[in-house]
Amino acid sequence: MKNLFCLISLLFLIFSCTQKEQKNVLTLWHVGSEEEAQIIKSLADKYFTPQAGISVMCESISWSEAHTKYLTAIAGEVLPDLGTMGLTWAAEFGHKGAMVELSERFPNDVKLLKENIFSSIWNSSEIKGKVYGIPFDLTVQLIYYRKDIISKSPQTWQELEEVLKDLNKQNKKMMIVWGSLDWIGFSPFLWQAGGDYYNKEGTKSIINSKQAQVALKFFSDLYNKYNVPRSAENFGAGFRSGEFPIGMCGNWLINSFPYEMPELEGKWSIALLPKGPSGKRTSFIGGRVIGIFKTSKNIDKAFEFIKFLSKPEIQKELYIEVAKTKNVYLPPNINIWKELPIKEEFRKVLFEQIKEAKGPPAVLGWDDSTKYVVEAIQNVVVGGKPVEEELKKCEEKLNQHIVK
Amino acid sequence: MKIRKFKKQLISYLFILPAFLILTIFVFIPVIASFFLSFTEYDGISPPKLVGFKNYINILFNDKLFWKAVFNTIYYVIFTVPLGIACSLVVAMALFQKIKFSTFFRTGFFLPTVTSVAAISVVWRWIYAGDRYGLLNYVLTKLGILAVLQDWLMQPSTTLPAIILMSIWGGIGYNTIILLAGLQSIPDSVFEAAKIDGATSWERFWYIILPMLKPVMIFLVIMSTINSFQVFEQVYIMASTTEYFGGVLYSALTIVPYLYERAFKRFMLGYASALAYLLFAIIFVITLIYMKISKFYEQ
Repeated sequence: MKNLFCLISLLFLIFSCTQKEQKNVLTLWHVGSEEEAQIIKSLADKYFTPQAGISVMCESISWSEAHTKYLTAIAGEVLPDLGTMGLTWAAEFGHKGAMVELSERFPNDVKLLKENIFSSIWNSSEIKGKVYGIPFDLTVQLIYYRKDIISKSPQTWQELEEVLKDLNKQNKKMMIVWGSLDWIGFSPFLWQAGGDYYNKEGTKSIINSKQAQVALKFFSDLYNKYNVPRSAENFGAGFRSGEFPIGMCGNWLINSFPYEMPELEGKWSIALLPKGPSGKRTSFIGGRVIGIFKTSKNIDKAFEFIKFLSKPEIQKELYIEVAKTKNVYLPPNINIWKELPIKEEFRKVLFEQIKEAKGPPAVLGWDDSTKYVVEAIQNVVVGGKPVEEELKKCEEKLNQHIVK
Repeated sequence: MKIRKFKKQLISYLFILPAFLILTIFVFIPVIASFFLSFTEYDGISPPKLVGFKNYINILFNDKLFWKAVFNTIYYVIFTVPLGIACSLVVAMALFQKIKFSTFFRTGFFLPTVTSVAAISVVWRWIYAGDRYGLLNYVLTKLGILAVLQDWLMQPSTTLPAIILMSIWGGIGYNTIILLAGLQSIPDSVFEAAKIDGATSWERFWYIILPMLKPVMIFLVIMSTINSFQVFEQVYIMASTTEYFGGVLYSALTIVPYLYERAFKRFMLGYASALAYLLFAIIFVITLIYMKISKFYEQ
C-alpha cells in the first residue's frame, strides 16, 4: 500500500513537472552542429531566461536532413516553437501556412530589425513584403588564395583567366568549392555579368539573356579550358600542397585553416571575387533565418528570443564562442562588425563582399526550379550542349514554376 | 471440446500478435495507404486530392526522368546480377576446394555484407575521388594503366559503372555463402560416381555442380534482382549533393532514389506512391518471368 502511494505521488510529480515544462520552455530546432546548438542554449541560459522567465531547449538537426525533417514535422504538426533554417525555407513553409508571418504580427519590430541587417541577406528572406524568418547568420562566397604562389588576387575576369593560364602551366588549378557544377557556383558569375534569374518584380524569368550567355560560357570555360575539377573535395589538402592555390569557397574555412595549416601563416588570404563585365563583384550569400511556427503556444516569447539573438552584443558572443570551435558565425547585424575580434584583413574583405552579394532569388517556386538551372549548367559544362538553347529551355521551366 | 481448442489456439494467436501488429502498422497499412495515395495529389499538408490515374499517366507519358531512371536501373541490374553471381560462384568454388585458411577467406569475403551499405559507399566515394586524391586514380596511374586522371563519380559515362563495380564487390559475400551451402549439400557419392566414370573436373562442374545448384541459383537470381531494382544508398551517398540528385546529368539516377526525391525532397507523395507501385509492377513481372523460365527448364 505504501509502495503504491509512493508510486502514485511520483507519477503525479512527474506529470505536474512535464505539464509545467511545456508552458515554460521554448524549443528551438537548430540546423547546424550540436556545438552551435549548445552555444545558443548556454547564451540563452545566461542572459535570456533570467530576464524573460522562460527557458530555451535547443536541438541540432543536420543540414542534409533538415528540409525533409521540417516538412515531415509540418505535416504531422509536431513542431518546435522556433527553428533556424535555410534562407528560402521560411517563405516556403510560410506559404504552406506553417509559420507566423512576423511582418504582420510584429510590424514595428521587424522594421527595426531590418534597418540593422545587411540588405543583401534581408532581400532573400522577404518575399512580396512578407517576412517569415529573421536572418540568424550569413555565409558568403569568397576567393581564398595563396599569397606566395599568386602575388595578387585577380581583380577582373580577364585577370582570373591569366592567373589560371599561368597556374595550369605549372600543373596547378583553381577549385570551386561551394557550388561546383550547380547554381550556387554559377550565380556569382551570372550576377557579375549583369544577368539575373528573374526580373525585379519576380514575375518573369530573364535567365535567357546575353549576359547569362556570357556568364555560362565563362563558367563552362573555367572547367573545360582551365581545368577546374568537377568534384570539390580535398580543397584543404590541395590548398596546403599548393596544387589548388586559389579557390572559391564560403567563409567557413577562415577559422579552421589557421589550425589545420599553421605553417602557412601569413602565406594565404581571402579576397573579393573578381569583377565581371558589368563591373560588379557580386557574390553568393547564404545563411540561416530563424522563424516561429504557428503551432507555438508562446509566440510572443519566441519573438522575444529572436530579438534577443539579433542583439549586436549577443551576435558578437556567438561569433567568439563559435570561433572557439574553429567554425565561423558571421553576424547579419551590421553594427557589430567593427567590434568583431577578427583579423582586420579578413574583416575588410568580408564586410565589403557581404555588401556586394545576393542571396537566392526571393521568388516562390525558386526551390522547385533550381534543378532546371543545374540541368542547364551541367548540360553545357559536362554535356557540351549549346549555351543559348539550354538557357532558353531553362527560362521556360523557370516561368512555369513561378508561384503566383 | 471446442472451447478447449479455441483456448489452445488463442495462445498461439497471442504469440503471433506482436509481430502481426508491427507488420500491420509499419507494412500493411502503409502499403494500402500508398496505393490509395497513388491516385491522389498530396503534399503532406493539405488533404489529398483525388486525381484518378493522372499520376500514372504523367509518369508513363510525360516524365523523361522516370524513363531515365528505369533505363539506369535496368542497366544496373543487367550488370550487377549476372556478374555478381558469376564472381560469387568463382569464389565459392575456390573456397569449396578445402584450401588452407578457407575460414579466413570466407570471413573476409563476407565482411562487406555485415558492413552497412552507407558506410561502404562513403569509403568508396573516396576511392573514386577525382585528381590524385582518389585511391583508384593513384593505383591506376602508378601501374601506368591510366594516363589522364579521372573524376569517376562526376563523369556521366563512369558514374553508374563505378557504382555497379562497388555493388558487385559488396554482394559477393552473401552470394558466396549461399552458394557454398548449396555446394556442400551435394552428396559426395555423386562426385565419387562421376570420378569413377572418368568425368574431368570441367565436366563435373558443368554436368553435376551447376544442375545441382540450380535451386540455389534461382533463389539468388530472384533475390539479387529484387535487391538491385531497389538500389538506393549507393546512389544517394555517392552521386548526390544537396543541389542535385543521382549524379551529374542524372547519370546514376535509379528508380528508388528518384522516388525518394519526389516523396521527401519535393513532397509529391501521391506521385511518389504511383512510382512505388510501378516499381512493384516491374519487379513482379520480372519475377514471374523468372519463375516461368525456371519451370520450363525443369520439364
